[in-house]
Amino acid sequence: MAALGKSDLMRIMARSFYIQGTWNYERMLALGYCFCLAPFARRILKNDEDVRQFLQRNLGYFNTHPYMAGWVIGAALKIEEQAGAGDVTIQRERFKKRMSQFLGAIGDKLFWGLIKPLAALIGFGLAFFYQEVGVVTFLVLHNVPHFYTRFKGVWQGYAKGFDIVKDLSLGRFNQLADWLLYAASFVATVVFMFLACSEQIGNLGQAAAFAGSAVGAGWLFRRGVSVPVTLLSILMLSLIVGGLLG
Amino acid sequence: MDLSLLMFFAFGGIVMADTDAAWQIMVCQPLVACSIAGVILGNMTLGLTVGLLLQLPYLVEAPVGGTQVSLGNLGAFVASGVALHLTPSFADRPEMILVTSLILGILISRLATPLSGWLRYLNLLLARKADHAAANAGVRTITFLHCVGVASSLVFGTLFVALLFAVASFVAARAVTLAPVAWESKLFLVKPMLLGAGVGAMLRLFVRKRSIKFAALGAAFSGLLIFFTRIG
Repeated sequence: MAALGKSDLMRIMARSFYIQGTWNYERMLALGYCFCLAPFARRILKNDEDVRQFLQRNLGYFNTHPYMAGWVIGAALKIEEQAGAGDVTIQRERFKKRMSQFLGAIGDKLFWGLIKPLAALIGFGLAFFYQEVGVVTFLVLHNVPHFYTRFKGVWQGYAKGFDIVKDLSLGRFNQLADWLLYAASFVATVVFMFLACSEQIGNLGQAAAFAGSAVGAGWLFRRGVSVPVTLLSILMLSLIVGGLLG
Repeated sequence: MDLSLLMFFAFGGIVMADTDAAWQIMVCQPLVACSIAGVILGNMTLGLTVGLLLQLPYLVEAPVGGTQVSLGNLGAFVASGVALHLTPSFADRPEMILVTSLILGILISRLATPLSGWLRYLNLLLARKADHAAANAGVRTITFLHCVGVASSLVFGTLFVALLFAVASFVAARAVTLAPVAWESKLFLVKPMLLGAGVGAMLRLFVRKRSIKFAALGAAFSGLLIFFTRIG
């Protein structure tokens, strides 16, 4: 019988929202990871010595995507529960390292690279025409997959333990990423066209400035120029051109 | 001090924490944070305008691994606060106030980047203290130390926002006072060009060789839709 019940898993998930609370360059999410696991160590482990070893083991370097950490946390607790202290330490460490790297790469690509910008772009497009509708849409579009991932990660990780690796397929994540990219490139051009033709942009000159700065900013970002420098350059250019024409 | 300003500073703490330390439900993003600033300080439309202008460009910087990215969220939030705070005092120069706030917000996003480095150093000290707690099987101490990390992000976020807001408001008010009123009419390209920069950032992020067909499809679809809407 499982040592942790539904309410425990809910509490673990709630704690995972704070996993980045003590992010640092030396050990990244280590303390946050330990913070998620620690209260449940006393349930799973029998004596103080086991708890001490457990805490020390889980304060080592740990880095992954914060939303995806649930899978590692859930699986780690299951493994601790099944193994007791000491006998599968090497496999446990190897599992934690490989899973965190894999989930980190996938999470960065999916959430930071696609879901967040796509949700923001859709929210931006709607907010431009319908104000607060866009703000709410952005929050919903981003947080539905966010909450689902956190919830599913802890539950599935705890249910499967080591076997979770069989359920997490790189191919499936990559396929999802491809479809999100196609959707995002479709939405990006739709937003570009609607903004360029909108009443708020105004006359042909302003539409040309809008399109020109889109191309210019894209080129500067491609060259690796930082966002603040790009924005300030475009802002200064708009002041100079506006001053000459206005 | 005005209660709405205190609420604005407190929400600054939430913006700072949501960016990095806790939740990450994206209330820190300019579109959301600036709109909430607008609600707090009494002009949601202006807050949303600042959020719209600064939302998209910063998304090209992904906070992957240990990358130190610009503090775009904090900069945009302070910019919205300054614009909202000063606009009633300079009712004849709304565009000038907006542009000055935007410039200061963008500068803050770059210059305030070390602040997150300091917080990370504080977190490292907490992690080292946690090692001692682990040696004594101190589960509660570890929980407490982590909560200190989250709380410090909230507290320092509030303080940073209050400090940056005070400095930026002072500078913006001085700059706008010195500028001739005639300049107000010369700022008509700022909004279209900043919006263009944001959309350009998104096109740069999403339109690649393998997705170009979908981008073309989007352009054709929206072109047709706009054409028929105009005719209708």
